[in-house]
Amino acid sequence: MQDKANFAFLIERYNSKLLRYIKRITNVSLEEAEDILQDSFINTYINLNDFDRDLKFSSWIYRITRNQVINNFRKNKIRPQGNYIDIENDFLENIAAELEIEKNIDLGILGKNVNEILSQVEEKYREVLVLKFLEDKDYKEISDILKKPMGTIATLINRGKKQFKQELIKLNIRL
Amino acid sequence: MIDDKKTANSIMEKIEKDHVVLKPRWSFLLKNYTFWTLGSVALLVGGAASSVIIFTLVNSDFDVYRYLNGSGLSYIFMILPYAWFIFFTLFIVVAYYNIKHTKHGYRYKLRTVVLTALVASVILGFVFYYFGFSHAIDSSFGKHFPGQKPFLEKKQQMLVQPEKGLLAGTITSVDEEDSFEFEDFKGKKWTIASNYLQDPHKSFLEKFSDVIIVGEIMENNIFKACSLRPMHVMGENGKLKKERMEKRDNRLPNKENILRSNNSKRQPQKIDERRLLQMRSTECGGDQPQ
Repeated sequence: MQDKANFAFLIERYNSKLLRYIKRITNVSLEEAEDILQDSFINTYINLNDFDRDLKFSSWIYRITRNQVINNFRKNKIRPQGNYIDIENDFLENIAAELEIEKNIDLGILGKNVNEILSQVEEKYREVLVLKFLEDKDYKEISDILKKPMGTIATLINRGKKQFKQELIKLNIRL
Repeated sequence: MIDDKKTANSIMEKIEKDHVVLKPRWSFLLKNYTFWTLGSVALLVGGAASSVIIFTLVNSDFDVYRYLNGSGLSYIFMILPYAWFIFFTLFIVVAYYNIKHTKHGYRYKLRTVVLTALVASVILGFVFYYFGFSHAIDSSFGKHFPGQKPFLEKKQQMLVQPEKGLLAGTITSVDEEDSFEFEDFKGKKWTIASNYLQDPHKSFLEKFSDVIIVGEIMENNIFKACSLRPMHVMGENGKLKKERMEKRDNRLPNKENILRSNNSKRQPQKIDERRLLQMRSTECGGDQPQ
């Protein structure tokens, strides 16, 4: 009973974050996102004994959610595509600083176009950019979520940043 | 506005209603250990394959290619143990797959896992080779798999090419000062003219029974020996060696006596290894092999 109470507490803690994450990496409706999330929580519950204490719990539950998204899209034979980014100023400052364009760009303009830019970035890069700049995960966490080596994550982030910058230029956003 | 508490309650209700239960811990442990076990077994098999490759390469006598068809490269292609290379590669892939699927396998890069598996297999290969397992593995594989032959058998057959100046087999008697009796590995009996042999080569006649002779055919079953050297088997399995010796002794019952009686006639000589190496390429009276 105590375990179930604890698990209910975990759901409360991660519900909003994970729902936002699903919306960021997919273009499903809110209802569908909630269904995916419910399945993710149930899967997390079933697999609680598999939780690896070397990992942060958040990394593990993000991984399960991402896998649930992939399973859902395999079932529907559509690739996940994020189309919803609720822009926060922190994110814009973060990414502008990372791209070393913070002095040259109007964050307002970047904010207006960020959804379009991210939709043009390849899926494998968009996935890491979302985790790094929107979910604010570090390399180790991203590595644990995506089950890829840290070196690979670093490469993907670097390439993703380059592609993001190129898309900025393509959209004629003056730097 | 998302109501987290409401969502939590509805999910917990669903868990209750559907009687969702936790998967037992042992099932996850079993899965993880299975991947580790399969990965380790694949490494062991990779080690076995690499040991046979080492055994083959060490015993290949690369300097005899000159007497066989084509170039050194074609000789290498002729003796390479392809089946074992395929095995080796296959089990490295299997080891990689299993290690990658362990709990923390994703943290390692492809090249790290593959290189580690490769190095571990090669080290294991040397250990197996050292203890004579590679010979036993190759021999057993050659006997039990259709289309495969043990490497030593293949090598013995390959080295019996008298028309190309190459003969390998067993000395059956050394009665005369300038000739000895010989049976090649294909079972043909020869008289070998040994008067062209230099003394260090002649000394091998006293010490070894299985030899490789370089020379030329003089008549139907008379072969002129220009150089001679023992046919060593490096990394030979003790049990198989014993069996081989017993088989040879049964075939040639007088061999030891003949050699022993002959030894008493000759003065033991000290062999200069450096000179022997030079002599390997020395040809009979300037004749070049075909």
